[in-house]
Amino acid sequence: MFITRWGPLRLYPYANALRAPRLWRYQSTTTAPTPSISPALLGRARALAAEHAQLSKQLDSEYDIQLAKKAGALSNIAQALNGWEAANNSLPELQQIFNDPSTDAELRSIAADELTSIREKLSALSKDLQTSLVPQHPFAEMPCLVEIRPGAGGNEAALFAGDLLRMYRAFCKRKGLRANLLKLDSSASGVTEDQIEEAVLEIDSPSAYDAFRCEAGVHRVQRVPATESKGRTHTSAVSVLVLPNFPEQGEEELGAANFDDPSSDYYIDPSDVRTDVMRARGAGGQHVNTTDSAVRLTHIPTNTVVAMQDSRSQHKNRAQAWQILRARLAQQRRDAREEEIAQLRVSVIGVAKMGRGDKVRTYNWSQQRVTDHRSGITVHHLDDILQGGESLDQIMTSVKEWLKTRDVEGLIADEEAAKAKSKNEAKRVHQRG
Amino acid sequence: MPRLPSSLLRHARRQHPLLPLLLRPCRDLSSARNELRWLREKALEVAQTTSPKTKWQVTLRQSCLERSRGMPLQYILGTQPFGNLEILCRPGVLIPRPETEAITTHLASLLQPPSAPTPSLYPKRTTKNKPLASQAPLRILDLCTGTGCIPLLLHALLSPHTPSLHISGIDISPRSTTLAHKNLTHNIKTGSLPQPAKKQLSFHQADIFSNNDSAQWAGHSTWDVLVSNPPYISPCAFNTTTSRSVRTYEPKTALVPHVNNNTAPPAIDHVDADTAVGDAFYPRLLCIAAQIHAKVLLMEVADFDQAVRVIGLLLATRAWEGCEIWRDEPGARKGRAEEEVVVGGGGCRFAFPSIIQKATPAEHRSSTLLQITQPRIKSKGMEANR
Repeated sequence: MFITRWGPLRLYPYANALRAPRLWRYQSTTTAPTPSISPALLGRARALAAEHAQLSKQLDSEYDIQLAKKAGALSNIAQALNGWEAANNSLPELQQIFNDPSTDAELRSIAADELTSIREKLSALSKDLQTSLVPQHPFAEMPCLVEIRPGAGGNEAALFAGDLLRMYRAFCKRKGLRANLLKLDSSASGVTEDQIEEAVLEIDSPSAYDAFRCEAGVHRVQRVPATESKGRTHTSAVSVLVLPNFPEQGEEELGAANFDDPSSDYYIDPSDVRTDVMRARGAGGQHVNTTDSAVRLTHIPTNTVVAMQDSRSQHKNRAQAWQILRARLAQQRRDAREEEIAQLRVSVIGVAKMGRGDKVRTYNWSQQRVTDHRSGITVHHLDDILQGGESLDQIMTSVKEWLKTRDVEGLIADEEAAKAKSKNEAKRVHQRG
Repeated sequence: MPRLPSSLLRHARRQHPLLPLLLRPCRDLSSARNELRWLREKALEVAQTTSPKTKWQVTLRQSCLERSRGMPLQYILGTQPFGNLEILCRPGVLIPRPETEAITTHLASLLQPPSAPTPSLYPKRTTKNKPLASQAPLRILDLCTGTGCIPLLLHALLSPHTPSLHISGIDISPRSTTLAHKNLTHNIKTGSLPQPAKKQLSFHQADIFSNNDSAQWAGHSTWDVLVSNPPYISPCAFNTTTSRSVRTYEPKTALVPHVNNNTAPPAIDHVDADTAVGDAFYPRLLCIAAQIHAKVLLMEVADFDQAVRVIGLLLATRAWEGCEIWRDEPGARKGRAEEEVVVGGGGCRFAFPSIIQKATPAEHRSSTLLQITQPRIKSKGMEANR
């Protein structure tokens, strides 16, 4: 079709679309799940299943909580492997029946049907097996803190941060998650929730971290802001951080998450933290009556600062500041760990890690759409998403799927790297010998 | 007080029309914003509970106007957080201060049973290997209790470790004791204090200077710990350094010692009459501490000079083994260098926070703790070296 143009190209609303059909996508392609399972992964799965069998034998003779926990964690893998192997073993038999010239036509058609169904099943089973092999995120079972901070874009970013906060609160309400606002710094009046400088939402349900992990990153908004007088579309960004929330000490065995244990990864030495209490100069005590209850904590080695002034009680402010500081430091340490792993993998995968510095999602008002740049999903129910509705679920699920496939890729890369390393060593030994 | 710059006022008005009012008492934008938020929350709460519906905006405006005239926020809101407690505040009774909260928390951490890693002030006789419940209760007496904040917080902090407690508060004002009783029931109702607190805590109205009931304080003649946050502001300091809001709205009897013939200032030759009035309560408190055989005495003082004067009085009694001066946040910063202080010719050495327990044969194995509330002094703690 030919369209006559009466003006410069840039005046047309969909000018880009007119120029040429777009044949490529940016950062939005998801790799198809590998149909067959890599031998490296299979070896690992077999080893783990063998371990599980041994553990369950031990458990039969005498019961031990630690062992039972371990066995429970491995049982998933053993089950997935069993299913996969059963399907895999039946495959050659059917193939043989199908290929055998002596089988009659009826049997052959049955075998053909069976073969296709088993092939389908097999791909699903191998996917199961792969995901069961991915180790669980260390914070997955914890409640979390969601920090929302406007980035570039001034007032408009602050407004959108308020929108995001409302969206997550509505989402939690719909899902029945306990959420309470730990900290709210609003830039304008200090009274409304419209414009936000910083907000920390505490989601106090177990494994909330796992549910919200996919939300961390830069959320981009494209719309005509309420503060705009000339009707131009602005692009602004809001960063969302998802931090693990450490439960109050002494509740249960926490393992790596026990921040009170100096040997733990997430331990904070209290002498590293400077506490500043805002105090007026001059006479104190009975002479004055201050209402300033602000508390500021500074973790000196990493220069992490947390200031709290929301509550009238200094005691409460201090407790909450510690909670946020602990969460931030734990996330920082975890990020550093992941960075190390990514450095190891980079030679194998060749794709840079998606950090929190990159934009993860775009909310476009004029097209009423939301696109997630990781999984490549586009959903057009913008209003429903901003009210934390089903469409947000849809996006979050797709991102979780994406995270899973990425984890599996990482796992395969790790296994291959380990294998190559061992092979090299064997070669060296061989050469020396 | 410096004038508020009009640019600041304009900036505040643009954010919220009521903010300039709150800037008058607060002097800076961030705390004014905080106060506005708290007042708004209160106004919304009031609007929900009262039956004839007044608009919350009206209530908010009224309270902002009151606040701009210097009325303490705690009197408007009716409460003040104190540790994990919520203390009710009413005009006529002194509002609990954060400094008092800090020293009470620190005292509680020192009073915990000796199993705690910190040096403990827990009375010696209870350290024997008896089950705790069978021991005599730990007795704490608080003089000039006001809202009852110190006894209440001490109970909240000590009761998980010390099942057997007896804490009393005494104040001259009947208003105070009524409010203290109200605070007790209020905090039990909110769940901040355990049920047995009702029996273990008591408040009495008495004049600590009268000799009638001095033999037995609150029905008992011996107490383990004596705590007091007495009026310590001298008349001159009341007119100069005390803030206007405190002067106009808080009770003067809780701030400046009321001197009459009974409570004549003690003869300290080299200080003038004004400081003598400010120090009027301390000799009496030392005397009471001796009467009730207190093993630990904690008193709040205004500044370092007053602390030194009180130590002078203390050394004169020759009844106390050790003495410490605490800064505003005792226990917050550890490992500071010790400092020398000269009191009346005798040297005092700093050794904070540990208390050196000397093997003296004196009957009073006891310590005095002084809390100074002026943040500018570099010293932290002090131990009388005699």
